[in-house]
Amino acid sequence: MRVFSIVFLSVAILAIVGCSQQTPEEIIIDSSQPQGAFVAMQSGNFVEQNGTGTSGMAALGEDEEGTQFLRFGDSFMTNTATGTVTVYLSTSEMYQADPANGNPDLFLIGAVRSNGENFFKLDSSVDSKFTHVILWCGSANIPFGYAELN
Amino acid sequence: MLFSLNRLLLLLGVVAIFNAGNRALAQSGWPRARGELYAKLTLGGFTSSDYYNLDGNLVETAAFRSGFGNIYAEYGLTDKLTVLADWPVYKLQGYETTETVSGIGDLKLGLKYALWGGAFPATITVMPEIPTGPSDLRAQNLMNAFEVINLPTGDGEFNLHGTLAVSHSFYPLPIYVNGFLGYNLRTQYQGQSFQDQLRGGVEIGGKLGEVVWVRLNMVVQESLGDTPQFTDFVRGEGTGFSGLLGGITWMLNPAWGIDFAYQTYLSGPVARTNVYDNHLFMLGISYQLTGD
Repeated sequence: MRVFSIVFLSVAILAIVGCSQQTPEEIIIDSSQPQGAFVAMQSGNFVEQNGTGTSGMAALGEDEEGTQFLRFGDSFMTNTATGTVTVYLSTSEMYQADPANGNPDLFLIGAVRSNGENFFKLDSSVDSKFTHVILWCGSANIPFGYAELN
Repeated sequence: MLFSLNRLLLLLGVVAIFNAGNRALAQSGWPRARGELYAKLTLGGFTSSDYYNLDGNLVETAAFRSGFGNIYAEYGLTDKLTVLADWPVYKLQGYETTETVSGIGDLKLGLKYALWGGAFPATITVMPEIPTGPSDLRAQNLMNAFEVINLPTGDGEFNLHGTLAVSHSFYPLPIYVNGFLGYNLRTQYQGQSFQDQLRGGVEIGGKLGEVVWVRLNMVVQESLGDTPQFTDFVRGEGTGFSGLLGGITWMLNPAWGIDFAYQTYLSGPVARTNVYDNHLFMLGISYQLTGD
């Protein structure tokens, strides 16, 4: 009986240790980033405005799961030292605010806080009427740049 | 006469030129006498929508507001050596679209040494600027909660101001003239270098009646070196201007004076770059303690 107890306890310990070692590594899926390859549907280069140093490429496309994203390329630059810069899709290169009517010419994407590659997940499908990406400083009320998507 | 001409020249030889977060001192060629103290508290502010960017182009922005309280002091350690302090003890700034942020500015501490006297006395001043003010100060946008703009009251760098100044008195006429040339040796912030700055200025002043003095001052500043690495205007990078200042001082008694000044920018000879064009009004109160 004593021998049986020792064997049973040893097997139980080995089983517990074995199970803990076999626990799969936790994989965190960042849903704000594309899953798999990003395929650009439309793209264009930024045009600088107001001496803000804006340059680089913007692209609208999908990941392998069909989720839409706006991507700024690795060489994207603008003046983020002053704070945040707001990204919009727009029906033209001009920032045309009309809050009383729900800003029909603008589609708010979010804020860009750093240079280099940026992805912005688009929660809803983007209307084809939006043809430009606009960088807008809402505090100073001036455009930093735009890119026409082709 | 309530005061000697020299004392008034000393008093009026210190004129502050302000702009948004960037100051230049129109130094004089006269040092303080041993034991003599001069101190001045100045309040000022402006609102402007006319921003001249690094390319010198005018950009219409939301209205930018800036205000400050500044303490300036000189004390004569000897007849040839004067210690100086210049500190924006309170600065506030913001856009009409944002909250207003405030804080202290960067402290300048230095020494002024008399090189020679005579008809054209000259001094040399060395003033380190210590980054005592916050180098990042974010103002929240009033409309979009996610949007902020950085409006620090300090530039985050240690720099060194050197100034050579020469003066001349037209005594017995109650008129004087100051001229100065200054160099601002700037260092770096977060691994990025600032451009150095070259400044020059001329001031002419004179007495009206018994207790009123007037002055007119022009200062130019040019940034030197490569293309600015910082493009945000609040750190003064790439700043250039030609500033014109008019001021009037009313001496209440031998010790106390009230000063009113107005400053604006001109289109040349140095073009406006990285500055808000403004009409800056300043109100000051000064105190002078006679030395040995």
